Amino acid sequence: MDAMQAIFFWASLLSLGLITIGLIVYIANLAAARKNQDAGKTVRQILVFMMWLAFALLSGAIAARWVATGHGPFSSMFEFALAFAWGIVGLGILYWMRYKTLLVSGASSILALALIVFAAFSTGFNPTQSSELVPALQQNFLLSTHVAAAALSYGAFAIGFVTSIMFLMQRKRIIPWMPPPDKLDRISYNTVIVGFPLLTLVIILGALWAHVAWGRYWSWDPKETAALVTWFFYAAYLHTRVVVGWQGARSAALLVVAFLAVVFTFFGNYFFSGLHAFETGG
Amino acid sequence: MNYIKSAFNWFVRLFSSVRFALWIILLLAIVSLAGTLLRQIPAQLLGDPALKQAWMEQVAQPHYGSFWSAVFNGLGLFDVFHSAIFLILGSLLIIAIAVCSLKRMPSLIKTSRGVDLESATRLLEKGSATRSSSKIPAPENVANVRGFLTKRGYRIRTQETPEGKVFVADKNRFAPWGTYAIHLSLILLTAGYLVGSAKGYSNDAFIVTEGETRAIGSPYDASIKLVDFQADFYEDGSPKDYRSDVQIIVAGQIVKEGTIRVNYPLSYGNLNIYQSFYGPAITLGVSDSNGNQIFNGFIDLSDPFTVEGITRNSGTIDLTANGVFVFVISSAGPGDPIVPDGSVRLEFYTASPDTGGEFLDSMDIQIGSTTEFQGLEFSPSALIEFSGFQLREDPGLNLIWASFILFMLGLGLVFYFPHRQMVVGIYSDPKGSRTAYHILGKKNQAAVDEMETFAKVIGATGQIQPKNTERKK
Repeated sequence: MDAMQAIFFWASLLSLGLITIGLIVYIANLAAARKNQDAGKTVRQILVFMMWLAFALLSGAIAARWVATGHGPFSSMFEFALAFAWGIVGLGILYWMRYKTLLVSGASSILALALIVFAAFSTGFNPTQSSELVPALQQNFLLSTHVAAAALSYGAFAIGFVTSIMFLMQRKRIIPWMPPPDKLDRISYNTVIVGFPLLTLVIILGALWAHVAWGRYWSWDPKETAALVTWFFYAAYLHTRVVVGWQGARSAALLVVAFLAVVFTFFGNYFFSGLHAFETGG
Repeated sequence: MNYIKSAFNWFVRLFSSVRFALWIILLLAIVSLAGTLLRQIPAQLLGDPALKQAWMEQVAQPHYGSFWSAVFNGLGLFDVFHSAIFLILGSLLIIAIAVCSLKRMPSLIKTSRGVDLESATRLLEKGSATRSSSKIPAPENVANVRGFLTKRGYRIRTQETPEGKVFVADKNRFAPWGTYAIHLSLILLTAGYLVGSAKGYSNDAFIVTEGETRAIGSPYDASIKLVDFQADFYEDGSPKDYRSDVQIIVAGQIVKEGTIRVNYPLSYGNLNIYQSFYGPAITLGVSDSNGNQIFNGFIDLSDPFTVEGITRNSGTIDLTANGVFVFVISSAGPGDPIVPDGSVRLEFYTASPDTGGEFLDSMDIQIGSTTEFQGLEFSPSALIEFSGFQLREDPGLNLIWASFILFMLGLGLVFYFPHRQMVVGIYSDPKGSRTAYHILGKKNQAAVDEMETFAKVIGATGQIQPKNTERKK
């Protein structure tokens, strides 16, 4: 099973790397052809195929890891990164199917690539390395649902981040080959209405688990506090958008900041002490 | 009276303002961030000013320097989540949510009922509707519209007018209550927290050694007996599992027994008992020079300390009535260079060092043997384990879980079941049908998409813009 883990992991990394290269070629095609709708059609088809392939390989890496360790791949930074990347690519495909904006899904895959590279570093380039579960983590159902919801939530936010960056670049419609600003704005809002309930679920499941494991549904542990701060940012985004009527650049800027909070929360294990500081390696 | 009325109006205006709520959320986020970035005083030290001061000197000052430590401490940033600023902000947010919810209730009730037929007809007559003509005869178009609305789950009400027929249709009319449910859930959450804090019971370090029965104490009349403690380890020495077989004893009778593990607490009535930590303990007998036994019991070695990188466990026994205060220190393991495996070290003081006791002597003693100091005989008989439990009773917990469910329901309603209202008038025309239609609610793409589909059904074309008829906040 170690061999399978390694094969799936490195193949995932390779496929995400190829998506990145393919995306550059695709953008070059689009930029060169300007308004030609058929520009880069072949590259586009290859990119979509590569995204499906990357998703399948990441799923394989997760499954192989699961079989090898006997638990969901959610107990270390390596495994979180794998799950996060899986969430980004999986949701990227869903957003591609719904909005047909390959640039958004493709660019999001670059974030997934960064995560997989980070995962490789975190284990000293040995993706089969794993550590045993401390007793508190031996709660298969809550561990799996808590972190799976986090992976999907963070995946949605990552896509929202990419879309917001594109919106900020494109808000005056100066780059013809990029999706129109209103579409980017709509996608980014949609990522929040997917990600925010999931993030809420992450916090609720975490509270439930903390109650079962430690008798306290909330401990102001640094990582749970960071998750709450992240939640505040997205709650503020929704309020400003739905109630005050913010749209466009201000909303996009807020989403960029909110995603920085996601990144801060994700990497929190490296600089927080507390209940979540259990494992930063494999 | 006018003064009171205007103050009340100002209060309602301020606390129902979304901008005000947003500022509070932002400030709460910033304050919480400070609580994440800055080291926080452990909860168990908060009640003791001396321990808190020691933490400031040993942790805060080396980390942040004397000046900034004093500044952060002055602002309450080393205990952010109990600080006045955090509590004030939290209270302001809850008041804002409550005021906003109360203020919105009448309009929500009105929205849930839907637009009345007369108002709907006036809306079309006022000319704010999108109008189109089609070659489809009026009766067929009525059927088309009814089919379109029914298929999409709209509630339909109809009104006959002299010129034709008016449909008032709405879907998910209770969705706006989702926001209300979210706000209510936050109030419930706060109430649950307050009830838990005020009426709950907690003990984070209830320690029982193997074979010992220890009373929980007020307000409980029960005791916990640790029958057996087991720990399993991985090859690298880290704990794989640890569990305690316990009995709950009331008035000498066993009323409950079971095994407590991490993630698997034991409940006794409303009290939950959680496996928290564990460590070594010894059984010790002490006799005076006359052979009278002055102590015979368990000592949990639950106080770890580190010297030159080696962490050992220690416990105390207060025999100051007999002239000594004793520290009992256990080996860190088979390779401990100070305390050999199978031994304990006894350190003797005139009183507790915390109260200025002076060191007298120390000696290592093999478990199962006896040693003498100042006429007292010490006989450690067995090295056993202690188990540390957390005891919790939280009467606010049900409110907390209810608030979570309510929050998720609210989110689901708001995001996935958007409220739609549509007013359609179909009028006979010699050339076919004349249709006027109007969508109420906020502009959003889903509403536009729906209207475009509708326009296709009635044979109309053109860009559709839903009208935003919501009141401005």
